[in-house]
Amino acid sequence: MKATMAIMAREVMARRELLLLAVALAIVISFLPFLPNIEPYEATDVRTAACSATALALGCVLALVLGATVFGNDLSEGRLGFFFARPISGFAIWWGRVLALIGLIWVVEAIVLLPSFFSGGASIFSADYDMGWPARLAYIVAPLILFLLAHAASIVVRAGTPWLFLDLGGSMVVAIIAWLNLKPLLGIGEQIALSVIAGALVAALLIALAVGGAMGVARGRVDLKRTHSAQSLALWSTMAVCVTAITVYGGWLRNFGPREFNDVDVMTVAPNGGWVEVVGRANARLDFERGYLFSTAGNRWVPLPSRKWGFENNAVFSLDGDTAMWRGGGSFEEPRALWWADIVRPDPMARPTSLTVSPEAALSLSGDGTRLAILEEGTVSIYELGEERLVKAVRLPEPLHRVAVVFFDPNTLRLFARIDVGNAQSIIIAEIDVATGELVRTGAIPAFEEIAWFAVDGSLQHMIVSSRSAVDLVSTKALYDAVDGTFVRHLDTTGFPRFLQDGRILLPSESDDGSVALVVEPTEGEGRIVHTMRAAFGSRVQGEAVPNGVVVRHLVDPTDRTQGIRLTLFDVDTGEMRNIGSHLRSTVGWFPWQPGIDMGFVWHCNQLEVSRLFIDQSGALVRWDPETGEMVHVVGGRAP
Amino acid sequence: MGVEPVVTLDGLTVRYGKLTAVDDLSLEVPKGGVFALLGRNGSGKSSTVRCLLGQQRPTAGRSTILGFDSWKKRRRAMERVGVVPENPDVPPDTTANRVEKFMARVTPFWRSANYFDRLDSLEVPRNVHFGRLSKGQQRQLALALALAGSPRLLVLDDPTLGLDAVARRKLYEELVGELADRGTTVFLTTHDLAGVEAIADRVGVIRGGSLLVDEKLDVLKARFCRVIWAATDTVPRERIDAGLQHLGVVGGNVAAGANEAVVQKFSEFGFDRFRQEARVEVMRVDSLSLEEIFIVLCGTEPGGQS
Repeated sequence: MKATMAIMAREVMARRELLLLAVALAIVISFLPFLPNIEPYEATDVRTAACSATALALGCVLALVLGATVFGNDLSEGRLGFFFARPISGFAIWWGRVLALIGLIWVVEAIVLLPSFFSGGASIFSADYDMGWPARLAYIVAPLILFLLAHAASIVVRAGTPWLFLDLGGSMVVAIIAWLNLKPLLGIGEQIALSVIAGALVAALLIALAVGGAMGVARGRVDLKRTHSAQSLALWSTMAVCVTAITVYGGWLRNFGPREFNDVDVMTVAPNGGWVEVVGRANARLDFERGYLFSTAGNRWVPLPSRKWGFENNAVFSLDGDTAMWRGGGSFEEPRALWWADIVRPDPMARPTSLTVSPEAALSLSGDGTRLAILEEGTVSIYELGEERLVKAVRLPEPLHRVAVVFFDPNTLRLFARIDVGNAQSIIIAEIDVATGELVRTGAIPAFEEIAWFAVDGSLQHMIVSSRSAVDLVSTKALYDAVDGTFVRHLDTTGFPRFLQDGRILLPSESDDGSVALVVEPTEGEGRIVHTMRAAFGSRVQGEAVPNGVVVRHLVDPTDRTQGIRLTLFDVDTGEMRNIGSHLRSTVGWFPWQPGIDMGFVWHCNQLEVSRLFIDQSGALVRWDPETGEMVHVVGGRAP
Repeated sequence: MGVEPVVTLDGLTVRYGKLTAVDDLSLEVPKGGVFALLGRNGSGKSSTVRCLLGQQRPTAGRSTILGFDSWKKRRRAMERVGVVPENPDVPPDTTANRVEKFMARVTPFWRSANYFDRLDSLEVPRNVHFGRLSKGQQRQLALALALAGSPRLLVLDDPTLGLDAVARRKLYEELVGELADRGTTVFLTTHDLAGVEAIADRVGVIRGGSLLVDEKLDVLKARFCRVIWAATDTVPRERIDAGLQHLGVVGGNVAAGANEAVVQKFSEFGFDRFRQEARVEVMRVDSLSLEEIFIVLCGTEPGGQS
C-alpha cells in the first residue's frame, strides 16, 4: 500500500499541470455567459451546458491519451525498469499509476464542472437537473473504460505480437456473446434485467481490462511483448469467466417454469377447455416475466416468448380450444414470426410457422383452428394453418382500417370497423366470404359523437355500444343487432353491461347511496329481473362462474378499505348470494370475461373457466370449485 | 560450509523464439568484491542482467539475489540491491529532488544525506528534469540513487558508457574504495575492459549465451600468457607444436616458422615440459591484458557468436 501511494503521488505530481488546465478551463467557462448574444436568463443554462460538455469531453480525451501512454511509452522506451529495480510489486506499479491517473481525470472533470455548482445550482448532480443516473455515471465510467481500453490497445499495437489474433478473436466472440445476452432483453420492457445484464457486461469489461492490465505489467514487467501476452491471457481468461457467469446468470434469469411463479397473472383463457395464458415472475429473477400456455387441468405447459403487458401480444385460441397461436420473441417494433401449438395433444409443443406479422397486426383463428386470419395494414389475409398456404387476401377499403375481425365460421369472417363520419363515429359491420374474397357490408351502427367502446357477444348476434357525449361526457349504452346494426333498445345502466352465457344482458348500476342494482334483461321480450345490493360501495361484477351466477367483488367493510375485498356468487335469477372467499383477486380484472369483441380486441374465453380463476394472497393461481366451495391451488405462489 | 553467495545463476536459459540468448548459464558470485561479466554485443549479457534483476522470466533455470528468487521474490530481493542500468531510466519529467522523495518512500534503507552529498560533489543539479541532464549527469544521478539505498549488491550494466575518462576513473575508485569497505558486492557488465581490469576480483566471459570463463581475475591472467621463443630452422615444427600442447595453445602466430603462441594453461610444470620437448630457447613469457584475453576468448567474428 505504501508503495502504491508513493507511485500515485509521483504520477499526480508529474501531471499536476492538468489541474491547472482544468482550473483555466473552469474560469473561461465561468465567463462564457458574458459573451455577446447571450441573454442574462440564459446564463445558468449556458454555463451548465458548457461545463457538462467540456468536463465529459476533456475527461474522455484525457482518458484516451493517458491510457495510451501510462505504460506504453515507458515500455517502448525501456524506462519501466526504474520501478522494477525498486522493492515495489508489479501490482503496486499498475494500481498506483492507474488509480492516480483515473483519480486525476475525475478531479479534472470536477474542477471543470465547478462553475455550474456556483451558478444557480443547476449542476448535473443536483436533484433539479433531470439527467438520470446513467448520464451522470458516464462522467465516472466513461473515462474509466476509455482509459483501460486505451492502455490495452496501446500495448497490443506497440507489441505487435501474434497475440493480436487472440485479442481480435476474443473481441469478436465477446461482442457476439454480449449481443446474445442483450438481444432477448431489448425492446421487451425488461428494464431492470436489461440494466443489470448490461451493467454486468460493462463491469466484466472493466474487471477484465483491469486484471489484464495488472497481470500484463506484473508478469510482463519491462518486456513489451511479454506484457502483451500476459495481458491477453489474463484479459480473455477473465472475460471468459465473467461472460460465462453473466450468460449463465442471464439464462437462469430467463428460464423458469410456471411452478416457480411467485405472482401469477392470467392473460387469456381458451374458449373451451382449461388452457390459460399465464405470465409471472419468480424469486430473485429481477423483473423478468415469463409467459406460458398452461393447462389448469393437466398441469401441462408450453413456453411463450418473454414479453411485457400488451393485449396485442396475447395468444389467440380457436373456439374449440384445441389450437393456440402467438407471436414469437422479439421487440415490440419488429415483425415477428407466428408460432402455434396443438394444445389438445398430451405433449403440446410450440411450432414455428413461416408467417411473420407486424406489431399492429390482429389475429383470429377459425373455430376449428384450421384457418388463420391476419389483419395487417388494411389487408385481411386468410391462411390454411396446416399448410401455411394463403387462401385469400382481401384489401379493405380505406374507411375500414380500424377493424376488429373475427371468424364467424371457417368460410366467413365478420368485421367490425369504427369509422369517422365527419366529427362523429360509426361502426360498420361487414363479412368476407373466404372462398370468393368478396367483402359485403351487412350493416352499420348510427353515428355518435364518440364511441367509447363496443362489445359483441360470443355468438356474434348482438352488440352493445357505449357512446359518449363530447359535451357533458354522459355515456349511453344501447343494444344492436351484430349483423345488420339494427337498433334493439337502450340499456339503462351506469355501469358496464355484459352478456351472460344464455344471451341475456347483465346491467350493473351503482347508486349514490352505495347500493348496487343488478338488472338482468333478455335481449328481446319480457323477463326483466331487478336485484339490489345495499351498502355495496366499490362492488363490481367479475364474471359468470356458474350458469346465471356471477361473481361480485365488494369491500369486506365498506367503511374500511384496508379490510380487503370479498367475493360473492350472485344468482341473477333468485338473488341468492353465496360466499366464495376473501382476499382473492379475480383474474378477469384484466380483460372482459365474456367472449366476443371488446375494446377493439377479439376475445375468445371460456366464461365459466375464467370466472372461477383467482389469485390468492400468496400470488398463486387458484380455482374455485363450485361443488365443494373450495379453492384448489393451480400453480405458482410465494412460499408462506 | 561456505558463505552463501550473493548472486546465483543456476542453469539460466533465455530464448527468444528460436534464438537462444543465454544457454544454461550457471555461476555464483560470493559476497564482497567486484564481479565483471564480459561479453561482446549480443552475447547475452543484458538478458542475463534482466533475469538477475527479476525483470525478465528465464525460459529455464533460475537466479537468486541474497537467497531470494529473482523472479518470484523480486520485491524482497530488490530491497538491498542498487541498480545502474545501461540506459538510465529515471522518469525524464522528474528532478533529483522529487525522485529522492519517491525513493525515500519505497526504499527501506534509504540515506538521503548520502544521495545529496554525492549529487553535490558531482555537481549534478537537483531541480533540473532528468531528461534535461547531460548523459554523464544522468549516469551520476542513477549511481547516486543506487548507492543511497545502502545496497548489499550493486548491479551495474555498462556503467561507464558515455562517461568521460575522469568520471570513469572516479567511478572505479568509488567502487574499489567505498564499496569494498562496506562489503558491498558489485556485479557489473562493461565493455571498458581496461577500466574493469583494475577493479574486478572475478570475471566471467560469456559468448553466444554460454559462459566460457568464470574465475578470479588474477588466476585468469596467470594462465593466459604469450610465449615467445627464439626463431630457429633446426627444430621441427611438429616438436614445437607437441610442446605447446602442454600449455593449451589458443592463439598467436603458430604457423610454420612463427615463434610465438598464446596459451591458456600456463604453469611452471607445463612450461618446463614445453621447453624440454620443443628444445627451443624461450626468450620471453608475457602476461596478457584482460582485453587481450577477451579477444582471444571471444574471437573476432561479428555479433559475438561462436
